[in-house]
Amino acid sequence: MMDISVSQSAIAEWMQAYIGDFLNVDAQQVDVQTDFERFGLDSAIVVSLVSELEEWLELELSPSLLFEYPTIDAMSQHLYGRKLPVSSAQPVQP
Amino acid sequence: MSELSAQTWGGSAEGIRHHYDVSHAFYSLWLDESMTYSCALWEADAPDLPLSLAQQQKLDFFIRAAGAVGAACTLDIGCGWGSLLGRMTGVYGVRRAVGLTLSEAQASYLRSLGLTGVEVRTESWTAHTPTAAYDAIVSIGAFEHFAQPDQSSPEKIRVYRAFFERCHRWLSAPGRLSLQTIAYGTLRPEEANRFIQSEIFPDSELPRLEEIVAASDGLFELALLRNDRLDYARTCEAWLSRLRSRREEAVTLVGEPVVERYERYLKLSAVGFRMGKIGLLRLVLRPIRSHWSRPS
Repeated sequence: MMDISVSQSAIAEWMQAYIGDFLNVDAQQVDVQTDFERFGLDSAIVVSLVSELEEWLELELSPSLLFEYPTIDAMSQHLYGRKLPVSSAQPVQP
Repeated sequence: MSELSAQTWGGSAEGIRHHYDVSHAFYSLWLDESMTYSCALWEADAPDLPLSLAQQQKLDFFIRAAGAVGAACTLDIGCGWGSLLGRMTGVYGVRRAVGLTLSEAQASYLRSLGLTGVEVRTESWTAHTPTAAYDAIVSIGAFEHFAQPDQSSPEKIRVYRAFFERCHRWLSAPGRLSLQTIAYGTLRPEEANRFIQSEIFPDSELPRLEEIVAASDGLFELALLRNDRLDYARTCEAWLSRLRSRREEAVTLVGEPVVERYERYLKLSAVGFRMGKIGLLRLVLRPIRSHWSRPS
């Protein structure tokens, strides 16, 4: 279950680590404003990345989302935005 | 016939059944109501059509492109669950529409519909003998199954040419052949995804555009060519979304591993089309009849 306090930067860092692992480089070297296309990801990696994000964030995601939001910045902003209404809808504890 | 295997020449029946005989009920959960299992068509002037109307638009495109409107007799090679045959006879006034499929499940479903003017035959195009000339021929999503993964490009071209020779012979003037097929884009055959080749479409091999052009050279002139790969990405995404919304029923019908296999296949396909690794070709081919330019 996702921690409701997950931040946009946590999502971005997760994606940097995932892509860094694929490219065999340090996560910090994965630029958040570079188009995914430039990383040379193959279709299997794109599908795995989206599937793991789905599992972690408990969201149903289109496999083509990376083409609509083509950078880590854009994706993390979009995903954070989709989680936000759910998180904000949590009942306030008395 | 040649030294190529008689069992698989022009499409492996086992390979076709592996995929299409999974379960009619399963496919009906996530295909549109017409059971059209191929890429839909979205035109720029109506980009928001729902899947079912985009499928209908695709069928209409191919019917008109082949010159089938009001025809006496037409042929659908790879007729699936019969949506094109039904539309030809039910909407476009075709008097007799013959459909070929290698899937027994699809053929019996289609026969059970009892569509007037529709005749379904469980046979390959390689075994088909027409009883009369066809005024139009359409083939949507069958060409992908004609060649085998271990065939060289010249061997593939030989199979495709045999297909075009038959279509050319079977068509009466001024009939045309309209054709839709997935094709290799930037993906090289040796990089093709093994999961899809072994688990989803065994014994199938995609064509390259140049192989289609070479195979039809001298027989057909290319009247129209479109690559609508983004339409197929969108179609796969729509199918995936529908499958997910009926997931529990799907698991009950075919089990968790099969549902997971299809989810993965639809995701990989959607991404492959988005990336341009694979393309979706729509071709309209006009038979060359003129003696002014004798085919070599």
